[in-house]
Amino acid sequence: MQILANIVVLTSLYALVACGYVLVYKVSRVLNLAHGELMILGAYLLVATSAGIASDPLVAIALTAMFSIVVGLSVYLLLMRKMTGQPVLAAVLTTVALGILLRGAMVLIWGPQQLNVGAMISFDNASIALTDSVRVSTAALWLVVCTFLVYLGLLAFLHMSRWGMRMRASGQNALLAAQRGINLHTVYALAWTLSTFSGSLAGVLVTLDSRIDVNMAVIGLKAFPAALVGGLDSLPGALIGAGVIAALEVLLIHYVNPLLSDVVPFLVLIAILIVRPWGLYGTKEELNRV
Amino acid sequence: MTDILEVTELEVTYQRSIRALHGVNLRVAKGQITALLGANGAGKSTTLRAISGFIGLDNARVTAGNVRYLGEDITGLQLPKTIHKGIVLVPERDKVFTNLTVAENLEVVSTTRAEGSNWRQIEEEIFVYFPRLAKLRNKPAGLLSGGERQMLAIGSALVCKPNLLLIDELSLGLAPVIVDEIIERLRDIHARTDLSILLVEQSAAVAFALASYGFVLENGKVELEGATQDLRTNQKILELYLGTGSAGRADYLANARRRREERANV
Repeated sequence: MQILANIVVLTSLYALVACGYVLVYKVSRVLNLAHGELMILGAYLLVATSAGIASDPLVAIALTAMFSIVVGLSVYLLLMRKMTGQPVLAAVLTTVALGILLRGAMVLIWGPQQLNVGAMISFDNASIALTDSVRVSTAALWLVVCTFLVYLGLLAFLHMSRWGMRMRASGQNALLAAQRGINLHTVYALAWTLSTFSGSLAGVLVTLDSRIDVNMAVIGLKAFPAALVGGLDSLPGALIGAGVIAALEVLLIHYVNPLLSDVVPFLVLIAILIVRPWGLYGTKEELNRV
Repeated sequence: MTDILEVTELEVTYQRSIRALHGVNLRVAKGQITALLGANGAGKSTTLRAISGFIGLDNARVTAGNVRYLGEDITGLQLPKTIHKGIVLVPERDKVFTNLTVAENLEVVSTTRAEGSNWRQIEEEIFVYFPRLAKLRNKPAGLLSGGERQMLAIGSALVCKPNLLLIDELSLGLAPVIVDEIIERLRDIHARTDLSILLVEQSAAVAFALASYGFVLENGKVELEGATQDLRTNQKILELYLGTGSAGRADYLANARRRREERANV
């Protein structure tokens, strides 16, 4: 049972990170390879907020969420906006450069050592007993709840609101969207903002559960196979992809060797690229990916 | 009669080097349906795209000439702005969002906030014009037939509240019975509104059925223009460029051969 709980928690983490890839890819066909760094930046923003502005955990987290929205918007407006209408490869390489820059900047500002964010905002990460034999930490429980709420919110937004529909429409046919008067810049800015927000949320919750250092950006890379297994442009697909990767990872760690944990997502990635490159739920015809 | 649109000596260049239009002159009279006829590659679509505005993706530019809309120079105006002015295009291909339902296709179109709140009423207006769409409202547009897609595309263009509707290839690839229905619907819409329409067509029969005036485009230039009843009797045009309904199409190869010989003689 403990294994099952671990799988659910890890699924939530991967799913929350993967939906950021999906949102940006779905509307603009751009793979955001800086997503892992943006995620950790969210966690560092919490460090900065708690040190400088508010020490109450809830206030600090709420402020961090607002800052992450500003970050997402700035990334689009200052950087990716110029890439609209350029070849997708140029945009993807820009995100690679952004990731490297962010990583360097974070080391410069907050140093390479591990920080204990939980202690800094006096967050009590107590272990909660779900049953006699199953225990999860408070942060992990929050992670599961947040992922559930984010997915519910995103699906409702994409299918029931007009801007959500415009996001889906622009992803399917950007030219027609422009011809129907949809402002593509607004749509793309919205996607980047939502993506960075959900990513930062994941970053905050995962670092509350352990500690924070720049190398945790690798979680972003490990969640990427989850998005790809699901199909990169499908939110439910990302959720299922996250489940597949998390289950394999937890089971292999438990029954085979803990050292496999970093390898499993990429083994699955290669397998799915060979067998079904468009993923489980992805749109089949679009395979000119970068 | 005043003109809603006046295009003079329009030249368009793709990728800075490939010139698609060599000085196109045409006018659309207010409240009238005007046809732009011509064979594949004559520059019809480019003309429409130049009027409705390119976006960065197109890598195309108006290099000479100008476009006047309601007396105002709108040459080179980019896409969202032309829509706000009331110029709306129904493109030739990929004309609906295939992953959205019929109702969502109408709803997604950008309107002002006030119109946004009563979009259901706007939707019903479109369904009055195209009753067939009402039954399909919750079906994904990707599952529609070509004719239904064309109706939906015209419908969603109408939601943008156009003064000037540009339609690229109304009948291409559609069954004749569907073309007849769409022609009838368009006549109905035209009768109820003061919409001006510029219609691009390859089929002379369809163009003559709808339009009151026509321009014939060949190799990026307007070769001929006139009221449709005059064009209808212009034997040379019918034979060489447009085909004369089913009989003309049967002679397509012969026509093509004759055309080639005629060019060689020049």
